[in-house]
Amino acid sequence: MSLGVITGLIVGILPGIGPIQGLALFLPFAFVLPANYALPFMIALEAVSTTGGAITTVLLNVPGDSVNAATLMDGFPMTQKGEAGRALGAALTSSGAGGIISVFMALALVPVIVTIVLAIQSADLAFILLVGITFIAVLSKGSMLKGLISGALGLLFSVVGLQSMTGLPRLTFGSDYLFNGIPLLPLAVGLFAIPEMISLAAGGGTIARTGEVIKGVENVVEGVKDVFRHWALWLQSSVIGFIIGILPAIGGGAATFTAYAQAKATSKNPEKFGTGCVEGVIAPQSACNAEIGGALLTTLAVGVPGNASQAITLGALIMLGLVPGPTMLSEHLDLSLTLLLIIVVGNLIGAALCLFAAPYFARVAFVPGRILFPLVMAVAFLSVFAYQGMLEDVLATLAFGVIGLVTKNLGYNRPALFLGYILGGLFEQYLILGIGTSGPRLFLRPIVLTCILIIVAVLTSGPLKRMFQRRSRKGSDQA
Amino acid sequence: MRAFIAGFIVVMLCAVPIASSGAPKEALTPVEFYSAKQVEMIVPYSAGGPVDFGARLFATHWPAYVKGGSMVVANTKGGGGTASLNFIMKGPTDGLTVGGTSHPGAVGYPLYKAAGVRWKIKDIQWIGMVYRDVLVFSLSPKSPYNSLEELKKAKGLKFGGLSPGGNISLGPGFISALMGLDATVILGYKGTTEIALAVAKGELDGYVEDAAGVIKRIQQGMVKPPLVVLSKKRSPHFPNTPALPEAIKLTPEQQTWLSFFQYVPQGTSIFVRDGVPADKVKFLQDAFDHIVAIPVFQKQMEAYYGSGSEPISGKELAAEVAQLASIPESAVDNFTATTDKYMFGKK
Repeated sequence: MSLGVITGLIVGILPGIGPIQGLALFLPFAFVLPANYALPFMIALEAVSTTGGAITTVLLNVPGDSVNAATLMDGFPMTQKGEAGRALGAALTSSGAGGIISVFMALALVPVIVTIVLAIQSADLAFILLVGITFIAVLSKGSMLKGLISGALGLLFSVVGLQSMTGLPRLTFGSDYLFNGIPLLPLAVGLFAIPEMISLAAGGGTIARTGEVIKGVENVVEGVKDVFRHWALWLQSSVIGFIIGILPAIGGGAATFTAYAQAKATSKNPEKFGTGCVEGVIAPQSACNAEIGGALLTTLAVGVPGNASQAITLGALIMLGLVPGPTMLSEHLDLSLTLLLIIVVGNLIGAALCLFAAPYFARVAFVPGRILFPLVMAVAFLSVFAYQGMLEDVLATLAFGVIGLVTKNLGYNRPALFLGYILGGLFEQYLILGIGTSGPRLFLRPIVLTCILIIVAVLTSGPLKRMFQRRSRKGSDQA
Repeated sequence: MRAFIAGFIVVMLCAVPIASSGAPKEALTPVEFYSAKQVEMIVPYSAGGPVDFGARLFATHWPAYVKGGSMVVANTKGGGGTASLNFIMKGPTDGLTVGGTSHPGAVGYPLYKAAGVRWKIKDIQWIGMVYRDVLVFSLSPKSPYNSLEELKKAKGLKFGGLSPGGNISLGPGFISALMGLDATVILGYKGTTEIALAVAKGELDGYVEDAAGVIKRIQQGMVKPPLVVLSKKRSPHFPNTPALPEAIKLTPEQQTWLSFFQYVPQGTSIFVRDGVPADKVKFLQDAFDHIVAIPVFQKQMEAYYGSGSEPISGKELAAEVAQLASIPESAVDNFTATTDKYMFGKK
């Protein structure tokens, strides 16, 4: 298990290699190792990979794994403010704590998880995803119109590829490369990492723009304390991550962005999000690791992988003669609980190791840009190439780098674009399935109705708030 | 003097590679070739699924036959799915790129003229099929129906499918057409696991999947035991479940349609593109035959796919696929036109 933790952290730190690739590389060993070696290794690897991924995300603005992309929005700006240690402390602590609390939530849901998963149909998933898309409006700071345009562009990116129902290509321009859509890693690296590195190269200096050198250890401890100060936010985000984790096929990217958007929507200072606000780091990182606990519960209890990396774990379980599903929890309760507890121990060890090293990692923020820029760009492009072994991915990264630069300089909202991209394709798929299976009756489903109410509330809360504020100002002026 | 020595060293360092590049190379035998090289097996799907598992297991045992050689699996290289298959089929012909794919994907997509396919079935050189299975038709545990006869009286049935042109999508359409069911096949699910989950929820009334997979679904309580096997013979996994010709009387044309499922069975097949030299193809086929006979390999296959899933050699597979060439194109067109009537969005 300890080896799994160390491997997971390394896999997480290296951009372009995520838990899926790490688990796939381990599979040949899983064929020959006993179950009590193979399974703890695999679970521990997955449990901590996004913890490791937070390090490159915060320090270099290169997502360690795609699910870390939401942390870019405030993690890297904190590094630019000279608070790299604080960002790391907050990210690592919230990750570890999110993973741990998700296990307790999983244990509480063991008696009812099968009922819950089987009750949620495609129509429900479509509207749950629509709630997530609605948060594009929340993410739009400054110009709402630019935010919505960014989100629409993200939705446009999400429809590129072969349409799932008809099998016909859309916006592929005859290119085989785009048949399965725009790949996620080149988009994330191009959109977020490249514009920041070019700004660094053009502006000179270091990533940390403040002249004050803040002591590494104290900074890290401050970040740890931030998680306890914002315990309600951490809990809220962990619950969001866990719930999305138990829904098969939604994925960690949706969990982290939804948690971020919800954190902003409920914050007393939403205008600070995106400028280097520690809540903007705590929310997505908590959701990251909490999602894994939910996904593992679904994998064990229902026999359906909760996320893409769980598909590999599921295969390993089957090969070891276990059949995950409703009987797994009753016939192999001890093994199931052990696997869940490995997430707890793995997160404890992983977070502790990273926190110990965080003050040293944080010094990267003070390395001169002329040294860092070529190194980071080399790592970024190598990671993109390692993703699928294709030159086209590198070219796509360059193209999205240009788009990222343009959108950044013109004040368009890159997180909203990314959220539209992540959720758009899934929303379309489940909407079509929902219409096909439920027809117009889908609007009578309780979950759908609840989601519609939430969407209305999210979209109208801002204008209503402003309207009440104007009225109360008028009233006090007249008084 | 120093300059002379330095120059001499530089000239010698340059001379050796220049001299060796000019020397005539002896052609390597396939054994020598593969023993010194790394083979890349491209799997068009993400890691962790049944196709990936079979391909990876094969790759793991490659060094047992090819001493000194290695085989690595690259998932979704080329873009995944049809794009990866296009990528393999227009790739190098040195024999170092091998495809490990779902057999219906490699054969079915060009057969049924799926969008974006840029290869022909005859261009594929078969190395072998790691496991082979048949499709079975199963219903939801929430369904009130328990026989094919009861289904004939049902209204508004919904079955699940993937993208157009695959066996999983065509199977329910075929059964619906044979029996004249009031049914729709809802396409767009991402995988058979997703379809099975929808069936378990009652969102769908039924679906088709390979027999080994359905055994696990039954154990998980997701589906009922199958009603029929989409094959001319029964499945060893379900010896009490009738084959389609036993359950439904088929016309000669419908028997031809059934043969599509026989000649395009479920399973993971390994292949190389046309243009790879015959001696290398033979070496790969011999390697395949050797690896699938390794007792440890067989045990691992059985642990994952269950007993009754047999590998097929490249030559046998090629002979089977060649049978498709004898079927007139009009039969394929009639088949897809008939099943299209049941597809959501085309009704």
